[in-house]
Amino acid sequence: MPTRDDRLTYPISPKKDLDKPTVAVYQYSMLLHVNPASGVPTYLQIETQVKHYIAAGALVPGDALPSVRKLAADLRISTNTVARAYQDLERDGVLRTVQGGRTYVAENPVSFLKSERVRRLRPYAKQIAVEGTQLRLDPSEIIELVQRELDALEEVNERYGDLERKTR
Amino acid sequence: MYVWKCWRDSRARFIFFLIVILAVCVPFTIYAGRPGGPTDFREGGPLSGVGHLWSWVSTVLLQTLIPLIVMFAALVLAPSSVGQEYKEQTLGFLFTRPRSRRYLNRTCWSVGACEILGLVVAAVLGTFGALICVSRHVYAWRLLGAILPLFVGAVAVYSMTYSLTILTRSGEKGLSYGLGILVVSLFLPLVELQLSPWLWHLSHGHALHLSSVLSLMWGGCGWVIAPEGGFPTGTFILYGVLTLAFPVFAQLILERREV
Amino acid sequence: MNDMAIWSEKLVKTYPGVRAVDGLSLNVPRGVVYGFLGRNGAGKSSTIRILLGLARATEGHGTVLGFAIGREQVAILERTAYVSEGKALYGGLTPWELVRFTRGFYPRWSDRAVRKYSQLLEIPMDRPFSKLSQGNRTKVCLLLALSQGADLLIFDEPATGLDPVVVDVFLRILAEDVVGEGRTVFISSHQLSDVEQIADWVGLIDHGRLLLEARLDDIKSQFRWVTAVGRDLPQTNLPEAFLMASEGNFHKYLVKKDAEAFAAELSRQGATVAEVSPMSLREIFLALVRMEEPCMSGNVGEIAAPVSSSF
Repeated sequence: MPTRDDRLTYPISPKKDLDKPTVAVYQYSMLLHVNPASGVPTYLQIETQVKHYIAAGALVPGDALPSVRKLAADLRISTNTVARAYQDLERDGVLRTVQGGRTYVAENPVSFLKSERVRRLRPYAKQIAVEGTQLRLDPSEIIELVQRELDALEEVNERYGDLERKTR
Repeated sequence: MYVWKCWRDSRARFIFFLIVILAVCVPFTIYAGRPGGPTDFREGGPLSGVGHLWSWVSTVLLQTLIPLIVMFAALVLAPSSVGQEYKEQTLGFLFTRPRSRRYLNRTCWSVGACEILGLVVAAVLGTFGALICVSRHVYAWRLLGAILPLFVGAVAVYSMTYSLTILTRSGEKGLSYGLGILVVSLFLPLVELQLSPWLWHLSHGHALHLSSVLSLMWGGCGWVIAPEGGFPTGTFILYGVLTLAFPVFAQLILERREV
Repeated sequence: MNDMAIWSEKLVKTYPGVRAVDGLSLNVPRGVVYGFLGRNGAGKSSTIRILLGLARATEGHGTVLGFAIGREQVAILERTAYVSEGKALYGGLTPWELVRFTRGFYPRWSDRAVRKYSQLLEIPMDRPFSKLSQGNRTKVCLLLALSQGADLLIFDEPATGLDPVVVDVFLRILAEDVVGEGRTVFISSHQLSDVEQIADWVGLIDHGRLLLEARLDDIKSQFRWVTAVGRDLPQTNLPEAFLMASEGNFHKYLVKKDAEAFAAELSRQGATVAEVSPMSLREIFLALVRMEEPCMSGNVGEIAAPVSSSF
């Protein structure tokens, strides 16, 4: 039987019981944004964005991430997708989940041996090499591209750092 | 909750017929038995002797008017719930509730059958009550026996129309075919007359009658009034069996049918 | 198979003259959102009707939530919520009365959910159902399904008549309250963008057969358009690559797996690989369904009819 504590009373008065929906229901995620129509799987988009925020300094070790349910609700995607992203990030050492269930940015986001870290980056390097070659770019042009991205990240990092210092 | 829903679907029609029946039985009886009325049984009135009121009531009401009204009510009540489901195409919703089709069929049929019973009881009790008011004689108790043949006859018509509604997937068609069959069945005595040599042969000399529902009710009520006439047992059993067979038939169809 | 939400083995459903379902073997895991896609007449509704016991399969068998279809149908229906394509409910009853009617069937019914969702979805609860607009009717059907406490929710076109705001609210409810609690959602819909957003798994049915059943993430990471320019048609042996269109020296391939390897192979044979691009769910759907049409053939090496719209 329906539980006693939430029984409806009949007849229900529309004026009394039906208010306008609260703003919360229209809420979006402040942190992340996914584009389901792109060819990139949603969980990968989440992972990439989280890593990007960490690399840029917008997320620092100890910051709490939204719960799986909240993030899924805010993004209007399945909790399985969010859970997968969080799991992958945790496996990579980027995030850490505590007993209570909340997920935080790991203290030392990367705690692997250098050799392990290099091994992890290799597939991405390979992808750049393959793509660049296919696009008929010189090796030097490809390297310059990568360098520019690294510079841009550092710039963002500095800017966040300034912001942090100002607000602390 | 399905009981409630079936009741809601047939509520209006039921109340209509209830009013009609009570409006016919009660005032009729009281009016007929009033001082100076055609069946005034007091000394010096046109019919002296209590028996005349009794036989008048039984002939006009029990054997003619009430059976007709109740049969018509049965015809109309039968397609009310099921027909509505087919019209609104809500069977897809109903059959995806966690109840077997058997349960749903039985419930729907039972609600209507109870309504028919209610109408029959109201008719008989109404007449009975009016008779008591007017004549206060003991014969009236036998009236209550009329409930049985009236009910069986009416519910046979109900079951048939109910099954036809399910068969034809339409309330209108069910009612039309039911009415058609009923009218045709009233001519059964004629058929019986024509076929009597054959029937005699088939039944090896036993009396076999093709009786319509009306004659069941007519004969049954007649027995209540004058038991010497004999109870139409054969017909009673026949229509009793049909009453139960029709919903079983409908259930078999319903369980196999695709929605 | 018993821990699947929906499982079927070679389900067949024939109507006079047509095989609506033709050897369908579904595998819907528990706790996921499964998008059931297909053209009109592909067999989606027939399949759903079989799962719910509204129709009987001609051949084959299956289970829903571990219970056998047909034999244990009532047990299935106790735990399954269903929103039909027609959204037909009793016209004379108001949504409140419909709630009253429905809640008696389900021990796990939640009145709190009724209150919450009737507000969120903005349903006029006191108007008779027959007087509601199509969108409001859909909302009432969704309300009944969401409040039931079901382990499996089957939706057939849940967005009929809904404006984008309500669809957004509905997706949020699904993400937070339904999938978030480990229940399974089975959506059959033409709204590919909505399905793409919320689904974990996708099952694509055409002419009664499953063309594709996989995680959406996997499909997205593996399916690629490969556009190559080359004088002579390169021959490859990859079974997962299909030539979709050719015009002059331009060739467009659909590659279901290992697109990188295929592109490399093409390069090795002298073609210039102009682009390896990902595909949206809509593009995947259209490509796979069109491949089933008689004028299209499957393998590389045979020129198919030019599909100019895919350029």
